[in-house]
Formats: sequence, C-alpha cells, structure tokens
Amino acid sequence: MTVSGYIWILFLLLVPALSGVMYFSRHFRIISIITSTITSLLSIVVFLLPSGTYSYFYLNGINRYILLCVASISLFSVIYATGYHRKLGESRNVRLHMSMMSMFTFTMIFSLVINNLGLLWIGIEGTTASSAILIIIEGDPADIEAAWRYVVIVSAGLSIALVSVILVYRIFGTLEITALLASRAYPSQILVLAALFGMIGFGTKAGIFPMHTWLPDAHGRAPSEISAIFSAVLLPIAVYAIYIIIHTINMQIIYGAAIFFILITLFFVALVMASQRDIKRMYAYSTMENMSLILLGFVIGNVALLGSIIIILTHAFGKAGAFYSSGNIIEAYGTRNLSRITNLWTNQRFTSYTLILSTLSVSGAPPFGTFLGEFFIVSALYSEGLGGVAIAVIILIAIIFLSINYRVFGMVFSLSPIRNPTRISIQQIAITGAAVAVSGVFTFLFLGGLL
Amino acid sequence: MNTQQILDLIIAAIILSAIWAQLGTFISHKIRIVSIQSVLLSVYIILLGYWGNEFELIILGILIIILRAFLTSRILSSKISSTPFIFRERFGDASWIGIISILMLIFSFITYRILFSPLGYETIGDGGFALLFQGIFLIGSRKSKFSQFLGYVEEENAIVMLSLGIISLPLMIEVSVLLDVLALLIVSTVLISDKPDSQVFEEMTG
Repeated sequence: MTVSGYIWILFLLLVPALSGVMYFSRHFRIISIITSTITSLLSIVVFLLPSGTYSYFYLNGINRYILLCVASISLFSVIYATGYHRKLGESRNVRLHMSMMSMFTFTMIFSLVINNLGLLWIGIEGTTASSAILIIIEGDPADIEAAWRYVVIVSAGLSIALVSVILVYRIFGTLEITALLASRAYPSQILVLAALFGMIGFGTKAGIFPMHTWLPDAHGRAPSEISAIFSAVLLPIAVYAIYIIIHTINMQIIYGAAIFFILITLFFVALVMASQRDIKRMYAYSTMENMSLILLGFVIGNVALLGSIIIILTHAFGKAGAFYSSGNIIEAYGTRNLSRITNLWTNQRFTSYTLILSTLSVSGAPPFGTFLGEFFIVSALYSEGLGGVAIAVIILIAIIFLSINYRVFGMVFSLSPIRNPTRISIQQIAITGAAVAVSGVFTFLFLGGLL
Repeated sequence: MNTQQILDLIIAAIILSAIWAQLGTFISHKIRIVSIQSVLLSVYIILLGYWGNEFELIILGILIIILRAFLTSRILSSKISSTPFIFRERFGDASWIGIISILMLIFSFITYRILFSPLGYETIGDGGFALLFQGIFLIGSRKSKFSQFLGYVEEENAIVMLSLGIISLPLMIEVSVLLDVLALLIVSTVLISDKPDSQVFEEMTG
C-alpha cells in the first residue's frame, strides 16, 4: 500500500519534470496539454490516497487539496496559454514559456508533498527561479522590472525563512514535517524567534503585509495564465509552509502575532483597493485578502480550518477565472487601466459574466464557497472568544467586497461607444468559463457531504 | 596563533569584505569582493572540517568555492560590458552609506547577543547575523541590479555562517540551497541583461 502510494507520487513529480524537454519539440503545445492532463489525473489518484507518509513524501488533509488545485490550475493555464499567446507563433519565447510552466508545476508539487522542512524551503525557492522567466514572455521593460522585483524581494525574504528552518532544526533535531508537527517543545525565546523568522520569510512569498510589495507588480505584469497560477496555487503553498511553522512551534504568542499580521494585511488591502487603476493589480490585492483569511483559518483551527480549505478551493478557480477574464479584457481593449475599460456588457458579453461571477466568488458573495469559508472562520473566532477580531475581520472584508465589486460593475455597465469586437480564442473562452463554473460547485459539494 | 584565532580572523575579514562591498562603486570590483568573501567562507569551512575531521564540511567548502566564488562571479562578470570600468554605480553619499553600515554592524552584534544568547555564543553565528543585515542593506539601498544580486549572495553566505554557528544543516540541504541560488543567478542574469538599474514605471504604482 505504502509502496504504491510512493510510486504514484513519484510519477506525479516525474511527469511535469520530464515534460520540460518539450522545448525541443515542434509539437510543444500539444505535449504540454497532454502532460498537464496526465499530471491532473495523477493528482486525483494521489488525492485519494490515505493521509500519511510515503517514504520521502507526506500527505495530509491540507496539502492534498492544494495539490489538486495545483494540477488543475496548471492544466487550465496551459490550455489558456495556447490561445493567449497564439500571436507569438512558435517563437523561442513561447517554447521556453511552456517548458518553464512544467518546471514551475514540478517545483510546486515538490514543495507540497515533500516531508522535510528544509527541502520544502528549497522547493519554494525553486518556484521563484522557475517562475521569474514566465513573467517576461512579452519582453516589455515593465515586465522585466516586475520579474526582477519578484526575484530579489522574494529571495531576500526566503533567506530569512531559512534562518527559521535552521533554528527549528537546532531545537527539534529533525526537519521531518510529520515529526515536527507531532513534537512538543518547551516555550522559549528561540522558538519565538524561529516562528517570527518563518512567518516573515514565508509571509513574503504569501503576500502578507509588509513584505508583499513584489505581489501586485508580478501579478500585474505577468501574462494572465501565470497571474492565475501565482494567485490560485503558488501563494497558498507559502501559507501552507507558515502553517507548518506555527503549528510546530505551537505557542500562544505566535498565534497572536499571526493574527496581528493578518489584520494589518486586511486593513492595508481595504485601504488601497478602492484606489486601484490596474485591473490585475486590483485582483492581486484581492489575493492578499484571501491569503490572510486562509492563514487565519489555519491559525484558529477546527471549523476555521475547514473554512480555509473551502476558501483555498473556491479561490483557486475563482481567482483563476478573474485573471483569465482580465486577460481577455486586456486583449480586447489593449489596456489594463480600469478607467479605460468601459461598457464591457455590450462589447464582451461572455467576459462580463465571467468577470462578475469570478469577482463575486473571490470576494465572498453567497452562495460561493468563499462566503461559506469566511462564515466558518468568523464563527470560529467568536467561539474562541475573539469577538473583537471577528468584528474587525467582518468590517474589513465588507469594505474590500464593496470596493472590488464597485470597480468591476463600473467596468461592465459604464456607457461608452461600442467597440469593434476583438476575437478571443475559443480556448480562452472555454477555460475562463470552466474556471468560474468550477469555483461555484464547492458550496454544493460541502452541503452534499462530499468535502 | 591558535586555531580559534585563525578562524576568528577569517570571520573578521568576511565582515570587512561586506563593508568594502557597501562602499565600492565599480561593479566589477564589487563582484570580486563578494567572490573573495565566498572564498574566505569556504576556507573557514574547509579548515573547520579538516581540524574537526568532518568530511561533509570539506565537501561543502569545496562546493562553495566552485559554485559561489567561481561560477557566480564568472556569470555576473560576463554580463558587464567589455569596458568594465564604465560600469560605475551611482548612489547617494558614500560617507553616509559607510556610517549606516557600521551602525548596522554594531546593532546586529548587540541584537545577536540578546536574541541568540540561549544557544550559547559562537563567533561565526555572530558574524553571519551581521552579514545578513549587510546583505539586506545592500539590496535595499541600491538601484543597481548587480548590487542587489550581490546583496542576495551576501545574505546566502550569511545563512551558511549562521547555520555553522547554530547547527549545521544536513549536507543534502546545504548543497540543494547552493544549487537553488545558482539557478536563481542564471535567471537573474537574463533579467539584468538590458537595464542594469532598477526603474520606476507609472503603471507599477498604486
């Protein structure tokens, strides 16, 4: 049983790793879609394996859900990219792009399943190296600058996380995640230090204030399918790393510090959301809100943990849908500027639907899963005696909800002359619609007892 | 001079190289300084491994020389034009940079003694903590992408020193970190290629 599980996970890692060689093939697009489909099917098999360790790997009730999202969103993004970058033909840039997307998927899956905190750090650092190139496919100077900021800020932040890993190894004598989560250490100054370094370091990658500055730049400038992967699955992996650190250290003061960081992140997003001028930067800030809520659920535990998992699933597909829709709009209007995107309802009817639904999905409107997840988290806060925090969270997410939906409805229903319709590829339309549709099913899966 | 004094002398030289890197203006010189810093670190690790009969440390030291001191400087140097002396970095007042660096050095030495005191004092850990701050300062205070990347390399050297001061990580992890940084370096050289300085774009504000 254990051996076969190990082999399935090994296959799940090998397929995207080996498919990177598609760079040398003329049929790189079709190879990319086939290998991503195989990876998705393998992720379903691995998802169904029982929780536990499989040699060097580890599956639990959290990473299996993120794993499923990684494989699905990677497949969606690969198909979307075949349409979105069709104008670039078969250039070297596109080949490299598709090839690096596979390597990026490999590093994300590796980070999730590996049962070693040190190697998890290496995997997350590997995601930076493999994804930086993905931002610059169009070679725009602003894209290069965004990629540079991403590399420097995230790597500098992750170096701080490595100090945390060293301290954890000194205290516990192991880096095996299962052993760390099962162990108990006496509260000490060094433990607090390890947790804070870990939160700040991995928090840089997760987009937690004040180390978030790379996030709107990279999300804003990356091609839409890459922004979707960043937001939907890459950031939750970093939040998962924070989860391991804070539950290993397991001290009240650390939970307090995490809640403080979460609240200031939500406050910051509420402050800047209404003044956004760039459609993708707006969704990038929305991602900061979602990551904060997921982390809050991880910190509180119990029913809030279930809330976080529902948000991870809904947000992955909803935010991917929002970024795919943004990509379609940027292609049709030739601008990212919110004030220049008008009368979307008449010009791009289908994209209007997907944009509104995906925005409602990620901002927590009922009946989407994000609403359900937020409800569980807020209820858990109340039952833990953190009523003040719950009220602050409700007020801040309400402000963010109003700000983002006001901007989106403004784009869809504002009046302006009708534009000549720009043809969006069938792959883009199909994938955008599919992502938004999937984001709507999780509430029903939960109510049906399937989650 | 006993073995500990030799090792402490190397740590002092590493810290001095960090201050030198802060004040240098020619990028080619700066690359060489950080390369020397990596060589000093690897000499320290090899000596430690030789005197303590730890074969893993000797391997780590050799890998640092090859991957960080030699390959990193070669790759970065290849991105500088054929007339390297033209590649001069523009930044604010050098005297202020120097004063802030030294103040940060003092701050980091004091902070290390307070924060890490339960683990016992190790000169290499103290040096690593100071170098970590110097690396972060180099990244934050410069517009040149070369300087920023060299700041990151300094940070990674600092992590190796801290690791030696607190507890040595397993060799497999240390080697993977080295390879990871190398991969990041290759990616960074692509991003450095055209514009060696960081820029401000109107669409990237807000």
